[in-house]
Amino acid sequence: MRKIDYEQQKILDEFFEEENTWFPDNVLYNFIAIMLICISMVIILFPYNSWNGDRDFMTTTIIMYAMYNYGIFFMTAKYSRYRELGNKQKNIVELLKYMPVDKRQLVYYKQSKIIKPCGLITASVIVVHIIASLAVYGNINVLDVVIPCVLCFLFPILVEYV
Amino acid sequence: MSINTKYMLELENVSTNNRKFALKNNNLRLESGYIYCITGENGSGKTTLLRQILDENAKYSGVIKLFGEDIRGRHNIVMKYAGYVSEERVFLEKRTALQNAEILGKLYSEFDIDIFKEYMKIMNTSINTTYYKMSRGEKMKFQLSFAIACQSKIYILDDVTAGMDSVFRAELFDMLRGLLSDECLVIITTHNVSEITRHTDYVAVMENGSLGEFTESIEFGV
Repeated sequence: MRKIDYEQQKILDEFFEEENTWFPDNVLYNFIAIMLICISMVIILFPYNSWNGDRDFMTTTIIMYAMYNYGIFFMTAKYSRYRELGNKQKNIVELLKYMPVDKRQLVYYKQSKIIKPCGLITASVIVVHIIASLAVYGNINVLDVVIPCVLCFLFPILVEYV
Repeated sequence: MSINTKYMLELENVSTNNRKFALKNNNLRLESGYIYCITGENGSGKTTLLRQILDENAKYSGVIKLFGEDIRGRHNIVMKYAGYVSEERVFLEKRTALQNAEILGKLYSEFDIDIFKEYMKIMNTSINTTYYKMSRGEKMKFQLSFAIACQSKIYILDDVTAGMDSVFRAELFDMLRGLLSDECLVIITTHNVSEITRHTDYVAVMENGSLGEFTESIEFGV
């Protein structure tokens, strides 16, 4: 795995800060991200014991995790896409193709933007799962920790490599 | 990267295995202070060769060195020193030249906006024209001014003068000559024979993916 180049990360920071002032879709993306994540939390916060064996609830939970990841995708959309007024959306990689920025460093940059929020959300979900599970069922299941770690933290970060 | 080497750019047996078109054992060694021309028929591989130097994901065998160091896996270093001027390069269409320079200049630690404005003025190109409204010649001048403001050392101009009038060509080459005094080199691709003999120092012919030896331009076509 290549090292993080802090000079490139700093350059990207300055570039995207400048981008905030000229890319109006950023506000919309943030709004959609927050909405999707909040809606998905309604079901995600239910501990594993509450939907274990219930096929319909399991399907709904999977859909909610997908919705959560879609919300995280919108959080990083401004670092992946840009759209000029009246034009179609374009991939930011095309704009940066002949600039002194590696694609891998751009991936690391996007990951750095979601590690903290994903980490906080994952930790909160795990805490709620454990408390709810103990309160209602008197026990906790290891999947109460594993599933949020994988689907709320690892998956959205690793999917940036795709 | 140290720039105290004799050759600024070196290619050693650079080949590609692309099914559609393959480069075959290309070698070159370029020193600073000269304008080098690569010419050849359409489809001979000129742009493909340049892309091996500039593209981050270029798949080639052989070695490409910039200031004596292998560039593989060092795309950011290559683009720090290489100023690429080409029609295929993407900029922000709905922004003016100045806005493009201000936004994209952030990606270069040595970008100087005053140099950009100065060269745009020298080339009689407005900094307040929206990029998509610029003519082809204006876009090339903008890209060159941007590359100069980024303190590039190697200027790569891919078919920039095609379809341009003689006034544009004369201005462009005057500008490029002026740059050479700053320990830079210029690589251009063109089909125009008079341009090659009049304005460049060395020329090599690309044929079926293979680059010939560089010879003095003044002898080209004789």
